[in-house]
Amino acid sequence: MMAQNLIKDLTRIVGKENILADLKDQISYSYDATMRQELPDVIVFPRGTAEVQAIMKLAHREKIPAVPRGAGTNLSGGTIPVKGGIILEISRMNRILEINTANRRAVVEPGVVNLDLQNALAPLGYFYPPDPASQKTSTLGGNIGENAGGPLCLRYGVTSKYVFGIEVVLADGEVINIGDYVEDFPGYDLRGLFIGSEGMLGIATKLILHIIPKPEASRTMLAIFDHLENSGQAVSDIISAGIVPEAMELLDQNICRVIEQSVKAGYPTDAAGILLIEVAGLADTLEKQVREISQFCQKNNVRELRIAQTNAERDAIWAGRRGAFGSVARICPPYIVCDGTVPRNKLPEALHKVGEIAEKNKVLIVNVAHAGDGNLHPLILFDVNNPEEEKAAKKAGEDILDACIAMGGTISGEHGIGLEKMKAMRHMFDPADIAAMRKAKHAFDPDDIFNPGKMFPPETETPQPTTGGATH
Amino acid sequence: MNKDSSRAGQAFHQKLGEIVGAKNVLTDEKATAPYTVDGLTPQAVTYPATTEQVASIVRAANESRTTLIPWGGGSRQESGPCLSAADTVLCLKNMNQIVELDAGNFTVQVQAGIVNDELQKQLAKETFFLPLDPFYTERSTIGGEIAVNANGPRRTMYGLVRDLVLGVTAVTPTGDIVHTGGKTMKNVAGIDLCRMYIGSWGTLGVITEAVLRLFPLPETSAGLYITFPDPEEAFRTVGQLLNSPLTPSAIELADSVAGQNVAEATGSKLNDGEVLLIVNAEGTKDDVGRHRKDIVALAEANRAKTTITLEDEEASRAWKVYRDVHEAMLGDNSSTLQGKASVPISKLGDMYKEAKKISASHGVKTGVTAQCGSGILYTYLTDTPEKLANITGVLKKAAADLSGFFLVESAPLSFRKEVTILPPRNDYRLMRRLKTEFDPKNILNPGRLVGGLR
Amino acid sequence: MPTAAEELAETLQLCNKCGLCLAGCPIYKVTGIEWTSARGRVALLRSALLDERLELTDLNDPIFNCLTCNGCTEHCPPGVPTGDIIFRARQELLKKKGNPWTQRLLFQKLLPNPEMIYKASRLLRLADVTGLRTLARKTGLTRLVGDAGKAEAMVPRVPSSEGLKAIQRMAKKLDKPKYHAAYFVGCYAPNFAPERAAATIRVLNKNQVEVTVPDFVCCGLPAAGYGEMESARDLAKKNIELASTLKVDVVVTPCASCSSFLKDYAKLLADDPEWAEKAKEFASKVRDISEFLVDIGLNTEMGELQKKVTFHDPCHLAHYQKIKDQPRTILKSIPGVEFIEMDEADMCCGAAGSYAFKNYDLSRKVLARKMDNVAKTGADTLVSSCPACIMQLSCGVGQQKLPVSVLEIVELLDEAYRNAKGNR
Repeated sequence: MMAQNLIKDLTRIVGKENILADLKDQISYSYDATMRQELPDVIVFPRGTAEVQAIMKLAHREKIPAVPRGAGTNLSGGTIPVKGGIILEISRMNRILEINTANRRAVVEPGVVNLDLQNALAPLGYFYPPDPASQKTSTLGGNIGENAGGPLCLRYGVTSKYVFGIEVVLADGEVINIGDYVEDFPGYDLRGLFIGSEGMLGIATKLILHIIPKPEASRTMLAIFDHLENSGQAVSDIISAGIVPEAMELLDQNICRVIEQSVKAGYPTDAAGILLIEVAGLADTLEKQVREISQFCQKNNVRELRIAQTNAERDAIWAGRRGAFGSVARICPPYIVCDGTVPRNKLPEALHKVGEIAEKNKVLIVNVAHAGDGNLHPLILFDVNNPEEEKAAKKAGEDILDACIAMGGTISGEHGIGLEKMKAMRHMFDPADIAAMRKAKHAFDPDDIFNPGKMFPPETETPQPTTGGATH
Repeated sequence: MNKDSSRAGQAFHQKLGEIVGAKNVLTDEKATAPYTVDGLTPQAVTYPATTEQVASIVRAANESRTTLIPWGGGSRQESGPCLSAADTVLCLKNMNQIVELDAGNFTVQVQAGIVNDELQKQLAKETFFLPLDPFYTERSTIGGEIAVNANGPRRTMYGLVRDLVLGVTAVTPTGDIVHTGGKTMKNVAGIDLCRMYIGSWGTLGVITEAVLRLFPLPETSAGLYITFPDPEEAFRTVGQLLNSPLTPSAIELADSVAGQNVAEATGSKLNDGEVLLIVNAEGTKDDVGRHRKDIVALAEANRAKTTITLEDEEASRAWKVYRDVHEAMLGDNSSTLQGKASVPISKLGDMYKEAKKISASHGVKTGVTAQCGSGILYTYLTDTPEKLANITGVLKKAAADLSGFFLVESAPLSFRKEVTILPPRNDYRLMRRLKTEFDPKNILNPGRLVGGLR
Repeated sequence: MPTAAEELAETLQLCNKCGLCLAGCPIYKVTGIEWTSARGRVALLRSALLDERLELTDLNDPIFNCLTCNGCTEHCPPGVPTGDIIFRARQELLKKKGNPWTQRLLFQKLLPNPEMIYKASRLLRLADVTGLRTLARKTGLTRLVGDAGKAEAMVPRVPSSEGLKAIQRMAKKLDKPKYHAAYFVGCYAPNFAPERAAATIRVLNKNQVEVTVPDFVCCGLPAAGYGEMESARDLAKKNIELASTLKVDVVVTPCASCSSFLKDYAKLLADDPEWAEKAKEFASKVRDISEFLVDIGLNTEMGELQKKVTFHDPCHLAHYQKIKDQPRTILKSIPGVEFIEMDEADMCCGAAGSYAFKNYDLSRKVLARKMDNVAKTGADTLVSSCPACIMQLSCGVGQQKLPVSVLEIVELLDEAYRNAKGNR
């Protein structure tokens, strides 16, 4: 519990409407989109850089942990305050400060919701490419914390490509500007380090983002395959030909069955896999791309090809994909979603492996994958009331990550390490690799004020001696 | 140099011999002289063959506090703040192999010492290419380009070094081998040390391997060489181009000094005050066809003087003339300074005008090129050191007034020793802490980074 | 047999904390506080009912300052029924706290009795006409009753009215009616807006619908909103009993809250073997007016109205009944009308029945956001389909001094019909 005088100090900094400390408030901020919960001591809603600075000076002086948080939709435990402390809630720093299409820049406060920025850019004919599935709720600050992806990043790239400058408040309250409004600022790529650092290096208080013109047109298709290898080969053929679709989503038979239970999207329930492909670009070049993609699909024994001719048909094709996670949630709300990524051409092999792991652990796994960049999303279902099944599901998740590493891939393509994948870090990285990451952390935050207890597996394997009290 | 340090030096050189073999350690003057940098001639040059050897070398250097200068092709050693010491050059030219070309995954893993052009040749055999086209690709190594964050005109379409490098193997200044990133397009596992190494100028580690993202060779390409009577119209064309859904692979601009040869190579002429705008497009026939049509229309709408469209071979030839301009402008480097301004994209025209105005009023011979999609302007200024010092001050202020910056990328040594290349900003202390974390003894490229980080 | 609390606890477990509901929550959007979102309220209820870390009585605000607009459910992948959860939580809380005498008076004595409501409205009119109400407001007397006092200013000047009887006199027989409808007038129109009721009857008549106006009582939604389920069920039974004596095709109402709750009678009385069937039969006959008019084929013999019109979706129409297209179809078919879709058209206006009377500041903040969206459209006419919304929106427009008229959809239709050639 935080001392009363410290709560008073914080209240003086942000004002009494911008601080919460009741038990019900603490419980509200103890979770994210995973299933763990840990109570913070206090939640503050700073409205600007000066307030954040003052808060951090206090936190640093008193050595209190500070956890930056946006909407708390992350899937790895990144915003759970495992060591208590202060939740730095940025939801009230939510202004769009500048949009300049001639400079291709948008300057925003970190609490701006991703979709709100997109909606502000759309009438100008521009967009901000990173489009995580959570975009209607997640904040740009949160997106930067996790280096968010999304289906569009196949063609356009991930968040790290679209952030040019960040104003950061460091653990000791120092305010620095990393990167710049303009390009090629010399020096270390501090924004590269900061993006995806999961709130462990500092807190962003202003973002300078890169925005680009919307493509002229798009076309959407659904390709239905009887063998996963065929779909994988089709993906390779398409990309080898120089076509870079905006999205290539693979859904396996299992998830199609689940989807059709909730959303009547007309997906087949007896095909090994379906590929949702969307190409975008100059209008007069799309017809040929659609033809070529069709040819590649034919060459790879596609069973059926549906090409959307109208907006309504396009929406219908997407409806199933969009309702995928929701359909799974209806059957098993606390499903486990993995985020392993493999080299693109290994995707069919990875899916087979997932099937084997499902059998071995006796759980049901349904698959969505960003086929174009090898990013799997196996969704593991289990009986909520059966702790044995829950354990098996967790084990299956770990097995999947190990399999991804063995195939030359990574344990996280988009969701981050947080708490959920700390153990798996040891399987992917050497001690020297993790030690180097700790050095970077140490340079930014030597006292481990920001979001402690995340990402790096504990240094010792030996169990901590019990002191008789509760331990984390 | 006193007896102690020369004895210590000899002991170190002997250790080097044990690690890489005596024939890969050169200490005679004839061998080390070409590796002189910032007026410092190293005592030894060593040529490791593996990452493990590099690690052993660095560990030994750490123990004996010997400064190490990583070296690829040496094409950028004359840039940046001056080194404060250079005991041993660690040259990676023997680590120049392709480790793995994963055609299915569109990635290639290379040793850092492979020369860019050489890599492209081998990739082309498999119908791939790496869209990294900075200056000096005929001698710069991939490791070096990553270390200095060397980008070129193709950044407009394909992105920067940090978007093309998926993973880096490096030896830290304390001799540990770290694997950063991986070989997948998306990877958020852990802190992004891969990007940390990009542009770190060899001060945080020696890059020994990298995994790069490849693209299939485009079906076709075209280059449009457009002259304008006035920079105003050229920049207006650029603004309209950038505001459209077109995706050119390069948008370059040259003034009449820098662009003269290029214009002639395409059969046109550039008079004083006129500018040459080069727009490249590559991709499918449909894409390139549409780009050609639209860009020609834009040029005409903005009163271009001449518009010449070249394809494939012809386009490559003209483009080579343009790429050679850089070295031609630098001349023998004894009195030419190459500066780089970076301003908001919409202000590039203003910066161009300022640069021309300032050099005219100072009476300094100047050539100017620009990367229009990124707001970057290169100025080549030739005059006495005093005048150059004067004019760079004015250019810095002009860039700052436009919310950008101006720095000196390459200059005669005496100049670089005197002038602060770029003053540190408020993130300088953090950069210094990062350096100290990784290199507590400051043995790798000491002095080489903003603010003369030491 | 699981208790109500146990059933509620089980429903809570549908939530997997994905957080997408935040996108549809007006209270979250104006406060940025996690527990004002569906995810947060569900998490707190879980803490109380499953984890026993909190008492339900600690959660008065999370349980009562939810708008129950169901905007969250539009975004929820597993379909957590938050509005329903909140209603059930209010019932549980009421069981623990007991209900204050003011509530008992209101829901057990006043609401079931249209005559009494009429009399109360006449008292308020007296206060208006004598200037007493204005005086009370100006001297700050109204502020003594907290939020209710602040919200008082929203209630418009009470017009002269003869109550339901006058409206019943307006119902006349048609020559060749195509349909027969019972008009559920509700509590607001007879006392505060009799001309609206008149317009409703005229519009229905214009569409060959013969209207009767039975002595329906309050639909019961206000009572249910406070957890007073017994009162709500009593009112429902009265209405169902009355309807069973009528020979009509539909029970139609222009009030979205009423049509929504009347349709829910089947659920309300599902556990009552004596009433379950009758309730189902009744509910199947209920229609919202837009839904009904589009269903039967709207009479398009209208005159021109040169207006720039935008529509605010009442929560009980869009989120509860999933009726969104029909009002737009109607508005777009009025000649001369330029229809402009506003941003966040289906986001709650903050009225939520009597919400403003207990949560004035939050209601205001939500209304301000709605007003920004209205202003952005450049419309001169703001249309909706629920008296609470109309009251709230009129207040907002007045406060922001926007040059916008606020109308019920039936009023606009009525005007269009009256403008038709040969009609004047």
